[in-house]
Amino acid sequence: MTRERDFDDILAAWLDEGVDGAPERFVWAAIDGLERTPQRGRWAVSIEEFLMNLKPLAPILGVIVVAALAVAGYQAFWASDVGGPTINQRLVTEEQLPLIVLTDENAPDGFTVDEQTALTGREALNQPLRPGGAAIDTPAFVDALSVTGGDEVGGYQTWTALFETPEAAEAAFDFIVTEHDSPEGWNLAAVKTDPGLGDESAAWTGQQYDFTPNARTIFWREGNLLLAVVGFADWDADTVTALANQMADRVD
Amino acid sequence: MDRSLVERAQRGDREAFTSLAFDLSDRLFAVAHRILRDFDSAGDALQVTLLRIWRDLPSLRDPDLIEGWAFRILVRACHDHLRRQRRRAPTLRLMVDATSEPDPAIAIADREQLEAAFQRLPTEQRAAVILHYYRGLTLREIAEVLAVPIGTVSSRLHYAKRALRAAIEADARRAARKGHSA
Repeated sequence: MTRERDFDDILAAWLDEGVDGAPERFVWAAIDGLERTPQRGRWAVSIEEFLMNLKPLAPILGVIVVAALAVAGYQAFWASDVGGPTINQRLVTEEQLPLIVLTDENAPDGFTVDEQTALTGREALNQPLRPGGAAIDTPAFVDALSVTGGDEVGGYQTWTALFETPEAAEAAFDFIVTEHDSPEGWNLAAVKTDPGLGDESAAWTGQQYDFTPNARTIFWREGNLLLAVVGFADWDADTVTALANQMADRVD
Repeated sequence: MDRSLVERAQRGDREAFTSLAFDLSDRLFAVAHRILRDFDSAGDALQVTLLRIWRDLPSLRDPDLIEGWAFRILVRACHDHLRRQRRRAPTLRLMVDATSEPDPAIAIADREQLEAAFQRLPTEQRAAVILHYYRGLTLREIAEVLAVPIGTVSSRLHYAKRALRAAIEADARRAARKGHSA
């Protein structure tokens, strides 16, 4: 707790360093621009805000359309092919990732999703690992997505990483388990009860060194996909479990 | 903030707006400078913000809320600026134009790690950190300024702090490993 306080002090002191007054030339340059900037009424601002709120939904709508077309195509050409080859190791695709993590559409009631801070690619891949240590580094990595959200109780992270093959995902899962159980990890204690998700799963709980007083992480693998839910601060156990189950359902 | 000044500016009074702009500009510039980590970029963001305030001022329902509303416009202007900058050339800047004396309690290595980690944060997380640790706003006040729920503010602060702190810890661990191997 003391170090937490120390870090807050360091951060505040560091942010205090910097310029406090605005040079007048910047203000005058703006004043000079008033001539060319007409004021606009409430209705114009309302329309702009409405359009801006629609904008972030565009990629999600696009993904839904692509997924719907894929499902329709599958049903039309493959599903009716009784006696055809069966897939033993179902592969998740890149396009499905945004539908698996938290979104405004699938979030539980009272939950807010911070899509603006979502991470993708390699930046997202190693997000669950403690920085500064070894990282997952395999050419079989395809893409990852990390989305955070919160309610009036706590904060939560949903994460998923896609690999070309189930074998590559399995190796990454083993790496994460080893890292979490080692001193290089977040110092969390392994939960003895298997969460029972996907092909293999594991959970940890406790204090992330002296950073987050209380955290809970659930990891699991489903074919070529790794998934995780992390609860921090005043996380609620039922919410962490519910988020994990909902993600597992969406993969299914 | 003088309410009548805001109301006059809302009705298109340029003289009133000029006074208002000078009243707000120091606080806006200080926040922009800390988000963008660059003097001229902060100047650009301030100009854009002042012009947007002027343009949309008639839509502000409660003149007493001008400051929070101005910060929201500023954060959006900083976001736009960083997005354009990243599209052009992603670079890591060192903030060298600070006028206040560096705090001797912060180690040079820590300062460099903080700077690098801070510049990897998304604008929304930077804004939450600055409004909380520099402007001293509560989580609820930040939620009102940024027009997001309080859970989102907690989440942004948590991950920003985690990234900043992790950068310092990672550096300390690397140094410790070097010490062991030497």
